[in-house]
Amino acid sequence: MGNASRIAFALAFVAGLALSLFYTWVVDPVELINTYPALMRSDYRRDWVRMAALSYLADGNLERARARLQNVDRQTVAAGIEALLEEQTAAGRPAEELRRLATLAQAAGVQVSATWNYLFTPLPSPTPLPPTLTPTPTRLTPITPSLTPTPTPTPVRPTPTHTASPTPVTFTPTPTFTPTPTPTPPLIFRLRPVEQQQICESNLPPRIEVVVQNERGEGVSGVEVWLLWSGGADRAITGLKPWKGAGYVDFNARWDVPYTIGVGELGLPLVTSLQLKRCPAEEGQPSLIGSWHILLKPQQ
Amino acid sequence: MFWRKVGLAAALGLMAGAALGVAIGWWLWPVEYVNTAPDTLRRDYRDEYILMTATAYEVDGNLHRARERLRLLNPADPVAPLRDLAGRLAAAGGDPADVARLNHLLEKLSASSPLPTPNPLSEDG
Repeated sequence: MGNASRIAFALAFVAGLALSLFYTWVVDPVELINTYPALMRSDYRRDWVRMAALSYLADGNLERARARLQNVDRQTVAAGIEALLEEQTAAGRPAEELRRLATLAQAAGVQVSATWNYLFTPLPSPTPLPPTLTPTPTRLTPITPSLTPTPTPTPVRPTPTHTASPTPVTFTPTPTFTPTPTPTPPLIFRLRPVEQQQICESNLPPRIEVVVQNERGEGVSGVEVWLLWSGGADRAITGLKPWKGAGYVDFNARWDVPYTIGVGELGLPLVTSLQLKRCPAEEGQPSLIGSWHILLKPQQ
Repeated sequence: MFWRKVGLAAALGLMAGAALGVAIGWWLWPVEYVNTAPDTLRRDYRDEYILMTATAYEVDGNLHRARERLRLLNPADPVAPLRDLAGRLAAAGGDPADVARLNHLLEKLSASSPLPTPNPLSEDG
């Protein structure tokens, strides 16, 4: 290649590069769809927080409010709730409303200014622990002798003594028994796929539905679910479609792409190489691309 | 012959540059979007936005603000997204309380005429 050709190549290369960059960045940039609240402008994010907090005041659904706030940075959540606290205080709203906002701040894991500390006084835990199904062993405590036997609600009963007169009964605590509760890891670390079902529906686009449940089979909202594929990822929070259940989330999917489903902030992979498949079709009928319904539950 | 070679080199250069530009612009280094508006939210977040607008209205009673929020989704017809979600939720057997909130706001917005948009050129604008 002569010098002239080299120069022509170089000039044309630069021109081609410039033209195509102009086209891809200005004329037809990557389409802006499917964003999430964290990407919104700061004033819109603040308004999102405000609406989530006001909605919590209206519906009292803490799990839903947490799910809504999970997508937004902590700083914005704290600022938004604090601004609303100030506004509600100035408007002379009842203390109960302020307390609920403080509860929401706690549940969302954000710290509001110390001015509001008084609102945090005895409050029920925002997420009450589920009752344990297996009775926990308790240390036996000495029973004060009494002449009139009264029924006690303690599950442990003394061995009945067949004596006519009531005698003081004393239980000596067993020194060897030390109840050591085993710490349960957070739900997302215990989740496993327990069910995978193909859904064949002609009226809906192919998708991947994920349902997150706890040990008792109840949907869990506020869990971050990731759909990952080669070169991309999508994220959603369970509970944003309450009419489909608290633990429900879905993603649109393509039939020719293998997906991984992950959970939590780190996107811990639980299902890999998940690919949409054709549904079995009747003779003469076109076959549909089926969707997947995945159930994630803690492993026993 | 000389000009043919030069032309060929220029054509090759143009194609190579354009290909590289497309790869950079769409895959390697695409336009990064931040500071987006609610109208670009994914459908489920968009639905939440509408629902929260209706629920917040229940608490603050600020109809103008509710309309402005919905206007961010559809400037031409702010009520349309609300109507659409109310219909979809009702059809899908959604929470009756949510459907009622949406319908309530829908009713209020339909009954009221929108406030005039402030003229940015006016003195108090």
